[in-house]
Amino acid sequence: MPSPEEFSCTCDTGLGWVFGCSRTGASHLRACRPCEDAYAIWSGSAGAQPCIAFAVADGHGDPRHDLSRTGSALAVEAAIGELVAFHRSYAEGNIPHQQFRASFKTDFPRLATRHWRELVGQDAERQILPSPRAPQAHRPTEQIFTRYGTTLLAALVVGDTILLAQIGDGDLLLVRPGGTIEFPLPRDPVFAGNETHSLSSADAHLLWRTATIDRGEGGILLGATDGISDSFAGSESEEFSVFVHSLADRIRTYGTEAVAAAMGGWLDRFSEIASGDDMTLVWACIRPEETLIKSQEPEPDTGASLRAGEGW
Amino acid sequence: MYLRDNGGVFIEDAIPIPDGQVARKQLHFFWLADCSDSMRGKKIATLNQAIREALPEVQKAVAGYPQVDIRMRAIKFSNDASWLVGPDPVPLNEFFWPELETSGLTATAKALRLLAGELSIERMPRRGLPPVCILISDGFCTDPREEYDAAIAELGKIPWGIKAVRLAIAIGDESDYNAPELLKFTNQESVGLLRAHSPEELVAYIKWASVSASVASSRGRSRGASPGDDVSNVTLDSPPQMITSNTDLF
Repeated sequence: MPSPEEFSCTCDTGLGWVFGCSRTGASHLRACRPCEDAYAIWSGSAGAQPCIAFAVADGHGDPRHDLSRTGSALAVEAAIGELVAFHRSYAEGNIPHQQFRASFKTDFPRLATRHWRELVGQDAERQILPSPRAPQAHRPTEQIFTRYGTTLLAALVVGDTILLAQIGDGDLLLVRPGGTIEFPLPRDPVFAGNETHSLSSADAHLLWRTATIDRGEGGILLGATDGISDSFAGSESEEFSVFVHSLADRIRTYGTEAVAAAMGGWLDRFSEIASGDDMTLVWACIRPEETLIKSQEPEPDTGASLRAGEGW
Repeated sequence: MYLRDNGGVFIEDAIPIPDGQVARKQLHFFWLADCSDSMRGKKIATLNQAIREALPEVQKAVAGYPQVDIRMRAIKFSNDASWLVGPDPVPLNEFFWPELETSGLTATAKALRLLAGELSIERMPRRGLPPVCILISDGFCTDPREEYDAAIAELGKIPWGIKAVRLAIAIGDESDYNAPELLKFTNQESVGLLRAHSPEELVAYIKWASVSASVASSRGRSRGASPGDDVSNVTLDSPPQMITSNTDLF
């Protein structure tokens, strides 16, 4: 049975809650390998403009990516750093409102990739590179970046907008209160045999997919590593969609805290009987935009907790 | 159950696990068996027996990978190529190797075409494990050479054909079969062409190839795709050294 420490959460009372849970895969446990997934969640505000952000990364398990566990941790650090910086820049008026969405699409992939490569360079310098006198010898090679290979998913909720970015496999989707599932990001080309786009590719900044969507009536925004969707039947993620619908129902019926407490056990079970992979799920229960809330009677609770039967 | 900070009790089991049919990762395994007339007698009898004996060994070897669901099929080829078991894949624990009988020529190219059709993106699971394909033959392909080369080229173009673990076992004396032709089918440099000179070696190679390839593919670790990366992402160790007995050659 999972203990309450097995998930993390953060919230902004106006925007919603974010929960995260990461579990070592059954096949990793059998092989005494660590979990190579990572996630980070963040909430805060700048210029009286609140935001919530999360990032999920899945380090590649192949032997050529032997430092991918560190790579995924650095990826979520880089993503949160860039999302927060982007938000701050917007809140402080450095990015005009009308260019906000376009700036994210054009700048975030490049900045997040560069930030990750800087962090990897620093880590490599500490961990693996020799320290000869010639400073250029410190520069990490492409092979070193490959060793840290990972995917990355990132999301930022601010004002009336939800910003999404992804490189590699995994799932970023939004379940609206009516039950509609939106997959806002275009699909990656199909790779065979466990291959995926990677943040470690030399052309990584070109391999990102981004999307901006209206926050509108809110919903549940999910970010998941591929270990979860790979555990469900159906070549076109049909059963994964069933799971997503059902998860949204559980949150509505039992409340987010109860679902968060049960999530570790559920993920362990899926990994044990299905994909065997590490599993990480971050979900944000996003409240409707303020203008929509005002039109509802009675006004929803904006307190610090969201319990069974309440909306998000 | 555990206590909340406010003293309330929370019972985790009260929340049913979310719906959705779970499924293990599929590993598609293809046998391609030559049943031309030259395989008559000891060769086909050994092949039939060896594959039957290999099945429980594969099952035992992949028991350590319970997330893997091996599905097997078999293509036979002589004057033409057709399904011995298939086209619907059969779960490993239900797979039975029917007695294979011999006649006719060696339509290897047609067998490879049939295989390529099944390895297309549309016919394979989107996120499955690299397939395993084992070709066993004792002769020269009797289809036109261009047809054979075109079939090999097709396998080298489709993503699952590239990522599959492709092994070939040649049976008999080296002058009886076309080694360069069979070698074109393989994509494991460290293995090369497995040459079975005797029934004993054929049994050993069929077991080694099926078990090693299944285990290697079952590991299924993800990796970053590289442009122009047109090789299998599964690597096998070298095969065992055989000590040929001169008394029982094919």
